[in-house]
Amino acid sequence: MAGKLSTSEVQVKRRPTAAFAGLYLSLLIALFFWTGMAVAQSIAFFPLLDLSEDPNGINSPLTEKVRQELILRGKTLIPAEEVMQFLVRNRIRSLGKLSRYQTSLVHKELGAELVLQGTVCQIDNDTTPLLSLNLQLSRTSDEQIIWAHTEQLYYSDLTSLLGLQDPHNLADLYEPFFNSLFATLPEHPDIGGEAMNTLNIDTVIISPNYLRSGENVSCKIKMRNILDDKAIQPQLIVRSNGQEHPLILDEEGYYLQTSWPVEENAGSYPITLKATWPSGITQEGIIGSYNVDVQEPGVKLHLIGTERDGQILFSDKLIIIPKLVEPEPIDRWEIMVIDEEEETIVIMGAAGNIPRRITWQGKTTLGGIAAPGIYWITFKVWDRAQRESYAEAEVQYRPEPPQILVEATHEEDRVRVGLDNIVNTPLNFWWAKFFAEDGRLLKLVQGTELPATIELDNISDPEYKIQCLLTARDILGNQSQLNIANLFKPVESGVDGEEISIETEWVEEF
Amino acid sequence: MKYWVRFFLILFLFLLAGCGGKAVPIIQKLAPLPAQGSCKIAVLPFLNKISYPQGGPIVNKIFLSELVATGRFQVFPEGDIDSIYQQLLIYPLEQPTREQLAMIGGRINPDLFIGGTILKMDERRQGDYVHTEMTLILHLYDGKSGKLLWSTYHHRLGSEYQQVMHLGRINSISGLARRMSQEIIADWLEQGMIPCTE
Repeated sequence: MAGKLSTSEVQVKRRPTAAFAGLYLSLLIALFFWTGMAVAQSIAFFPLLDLSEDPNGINSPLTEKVRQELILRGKTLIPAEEVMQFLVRNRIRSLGKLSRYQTSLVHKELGAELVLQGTVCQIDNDTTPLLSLNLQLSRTSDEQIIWAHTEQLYYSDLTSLLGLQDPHNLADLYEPFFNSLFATLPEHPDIGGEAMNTLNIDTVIISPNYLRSGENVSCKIKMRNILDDKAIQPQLIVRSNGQEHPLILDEEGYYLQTSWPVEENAGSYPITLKATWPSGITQEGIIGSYNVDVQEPGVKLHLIGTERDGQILFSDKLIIIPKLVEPEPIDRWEIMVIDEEEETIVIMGAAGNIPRRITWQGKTTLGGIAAPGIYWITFKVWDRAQRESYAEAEVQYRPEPPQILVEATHEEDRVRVGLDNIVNTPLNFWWAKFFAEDGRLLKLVQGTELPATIELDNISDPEYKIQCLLTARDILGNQSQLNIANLFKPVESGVDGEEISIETEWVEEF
Repeated sequence: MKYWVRFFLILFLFLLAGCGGKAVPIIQKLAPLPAQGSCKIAVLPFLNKISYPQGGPIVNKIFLSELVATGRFQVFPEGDIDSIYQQLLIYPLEQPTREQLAMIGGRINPDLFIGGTILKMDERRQGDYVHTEMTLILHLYDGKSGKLLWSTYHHRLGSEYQQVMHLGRINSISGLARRMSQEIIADWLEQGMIPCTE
C-alpha cells in the first residue's frame, strides 16, 4: 500500500512537471509566432523626396543608404522595384506626400503594414557636410501617421577640441546621424489601427456656381472607392438650405449626382454632404457652395470726347469708360460699334472684369478706317450668373480737317476776300495773313467763325499779286493750312503751291 | 581654496554666458479653440515670403512631424491637403479663403487647421558655424468654419541656443525650424490647447 501510495505520490508529483513542460512549450510556440508576426511587419519604403534640388527632386543614393540602414536594423522592406511599380501604376508623381487613400492602396496592392516616406530637407557633401532628413511612418490599416522625426547634423556639431575624427565628408556623418534618426523609430509599432470612416471623395463638381433664381444646380460627386465592392459604402445625402437631395449613381457608374432648383432669394448657399455608415456613425461637412444672383450688374458709359449740343464728337480718339451700376465680378464683356447703316464695324470682348477704359481710334475690327459719321457704341456685360446688362451711346466721328474756300474779288481800289468752311465742324480759330508782292504784310485777320469777309484797301491794280497764308483749326483739333501764292490767279493743285495739310500742333510754317 | 573659488567663479561665468534671453512665441488669441479639443489637425501649405529655396515645404514638413512626434495629435498627411487644394483649384502659395477652408473641413473633418507664413529664413556661413535665423507666423483656424482663432509669432536665431563653447548652437535652418516648432507646440499646449485624450 505504502509502495503504491509512494508510486501515486510520484505520479502526482510528476504531473505538474509535465504541465509546466506543456505550458513552456506553448509559450515557446506563442513566442515564436509572436516574434514571427512582429518580424513580418513589412514596410513600403518610398524614394526620398529631395527638396534641396527642387520641389520634385529625388535622391536615389540616400534612398538606398536609408534602405540599407533599415535592413541593418532588422526591418522587412517591400522590394524597391515593387514600390517603383506601385508609383508608376498609380501615377503618383509627388514623393513624400501620399494621401490616406494612396496609403490604403499600399496595403491593398503591396501588402505592407507600414509606409515610410522621407524628405531630404538639406544636404551638402563638400568639406563642411550637412544632412537633414525628415521621415514619416504611416500605418496602412488606418492610414495614420504614427511616427515622424526630423534629424539634422552639421559637421561642426561633431567637431572636438583636438580635431580628431572630425567629419570631412557626408559619409562621416552617417553613423551618428542614422543612430540618432532611428533611435525613436518604434521596433514593433501597433499595426492594428481600425480604419476610420473616411469619406474618400475624389471630385466634387457643382455647376454652375452662379445661377439665376429658379435655375437648376447640379452636384456630382466621385468617390474613390465607388467601384470597390468590398469597401464599406456610407449612405450619402446632399443637403442645401435645409432640403435633402438623394444622390443617384450616373449611367457610367462613376459619379453620384443630383440636381435641384435653386432658391428665389439672392445669396450664397453651402452644400453639405451627410454620410451615414452602417455602424450608425455620421459625418457631415461642407463640400461646396453655389450663389443665387437676382440682380443684373447694370452698366453705364462715360465717353471722353468733345460735347457739342448734347452730342459727343471726336476726331483722333474716343475714350470709353464703362462703369458698373452695381459693382460685382463680371464673367465677360463685349463692345460693339455700329454705323448709320446698322452695320457692326467693331466687335471685341474678353473674359473677366471690365476694362478701366477703352480707346477707339476710328478703326474697324478688320483694320480699315471708319468713315466720318454717326456711330453707336454698345457695351455689354454678363455677370457670373450670365445676366446681361448693356449701355449705348451715340458719337460723331469727324476726322476731316476744315476745308476753307477762298474767293477774292477786286472792286475799284480794294480787294474783297470771302472765306468759308465747307466742313460743318465748328471752328476753334482761324487766322489769315495777306502779303504784298514785296513781302510786306498787308493785313492780319483772325476769328473763330466762318464765313467771313476781309477787305484789303488801296489795291487799284487788278493784276496785283497778293499772297495769302491761312490756318484754321476746328474744335476737335483738326487743322488745315493754306498757302495761296496769288489770290487772283487760278491755282493748279500741286503746281502753284496750294496745299492742305493736317497739323497735329500749332506750328506756323513758311 | 582661493583657486577653487576662482575655478567655480569662472565656471559660473561660462555657464551664464550660455544662458541668453529666451525668446518665447507671441500668441494672440482671437477666439477660443474648439471646445471638443484639437485632436485632428490639418496643416496647410505654409506661405513663403522669402527667397530661401523650398523654405515653405521644408518648414511645413518639419512642423507636421513635430506635431506627430508629440504623440498627442492626429495629423492629416500632406497628400490629403494637396489633393483637396488641387480639386478646389487653390494655388499652394495662396491662403485659402474662409469658405474654402470650410469646404476642406467638410471633406476631411479636422478640429483645427494650421496655416503659416514664413517671414524670414536666413542661413549664412560664419567661420566654422552657420548663422541661422527664422521668423514665422502660424495661424490656427477652426476646422469647421475656417474662422481664425489663434495667431502665433515666433522669431529665433540659431546662436540663441548656444551654451558652453559651441554646444547647443543650431547650425542648420531645418534644425532651427524643428526647435521653433517644438517651442510653438509646447506653448500652445501650455496656453490651453487640448490634444487627443486617448
